[in-house]
Amino acid sequence: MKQHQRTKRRGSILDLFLILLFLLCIVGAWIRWQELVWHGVGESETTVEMIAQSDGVDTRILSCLSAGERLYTASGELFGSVRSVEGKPHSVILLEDGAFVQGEWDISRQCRLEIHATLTGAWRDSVFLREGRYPIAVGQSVVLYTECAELHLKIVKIMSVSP
Amino acid sequence: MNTKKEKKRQFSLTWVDWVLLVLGVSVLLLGWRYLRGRQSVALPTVSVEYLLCLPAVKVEDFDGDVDGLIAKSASVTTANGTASLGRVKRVWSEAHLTPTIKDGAILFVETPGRVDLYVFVEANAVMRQGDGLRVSDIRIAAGGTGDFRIGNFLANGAKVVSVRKGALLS
Repeated sequence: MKQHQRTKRRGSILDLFLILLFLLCIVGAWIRWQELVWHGVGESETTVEMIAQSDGVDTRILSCLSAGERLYTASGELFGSVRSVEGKPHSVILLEDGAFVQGEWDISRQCRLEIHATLTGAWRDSVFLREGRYPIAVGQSVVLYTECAELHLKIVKIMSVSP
Repeated sequence: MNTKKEKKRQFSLTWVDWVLLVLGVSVLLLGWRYLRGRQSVALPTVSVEYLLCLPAVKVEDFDGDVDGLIAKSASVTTANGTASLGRVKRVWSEAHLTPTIKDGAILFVETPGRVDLYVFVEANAVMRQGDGLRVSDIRIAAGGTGDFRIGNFLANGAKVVSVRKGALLS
């Protein structure tokens, strides 16, 4: 009887040891993940300015945007913040007798929306990683949200902000 | 008797089982508390006004009466009518412009038989950081497009041109 109980307890201690080991693994993995995400990047963490544009936007959207507003992704994750917003003339090209004629849209109706935004991340192998994780590149299309607007933008420039 | 005791011992819980049970219950409790906490956060409600645009509406499709298509204070819902998206405050139309060339320069001329129809809508929206303004859980944002049922009119591919946040209601 006693022998049986002792055997059982030994098994239980082994179980406990395995549970603790498992918990230790989870904690270790979490710490390492945090290190990879933040501390690894922390040394080179930087702020960049991004210029993004959208053509043929109704000019009235400008009244829904303001400097200092936060930009979010569709999943609600913080992307960056708006530094400035500008409505620029949006060009239109037509063909007449085999020749191209270029003009501009009436800016009170349609414009080229240009947004300057700041975001944090790190450069790794010449690639900018937002929050140290998500690569951002020139030419990339992004859908970003402010409180009142949905912006379908194309990134045209990424530059480091001087400290 | 001995077999019964043996069986009982076999199925009784050891302290490791108890530890596992406590861990499991704690995880469940934490999850429940987290979900309850998220649900119980009262989200602020604000009044919003948004402008919808239906570009290049063909006037002859509606017996020439585009402005009479939508009644003032008509209800706005999703295309399938399941969610309420506010009420019409104002309706008007503007000439639909098309770029053309005249004397080597680009001009914008009114397109015959076509207008841009504008519908000004007011609604109440729930506001959550990072999640924008939501009317009946549907995000209303300038620059977006959607299918709306406005009164008796189905506005497919209507553009949200602007959104203005109004007073805080609760």
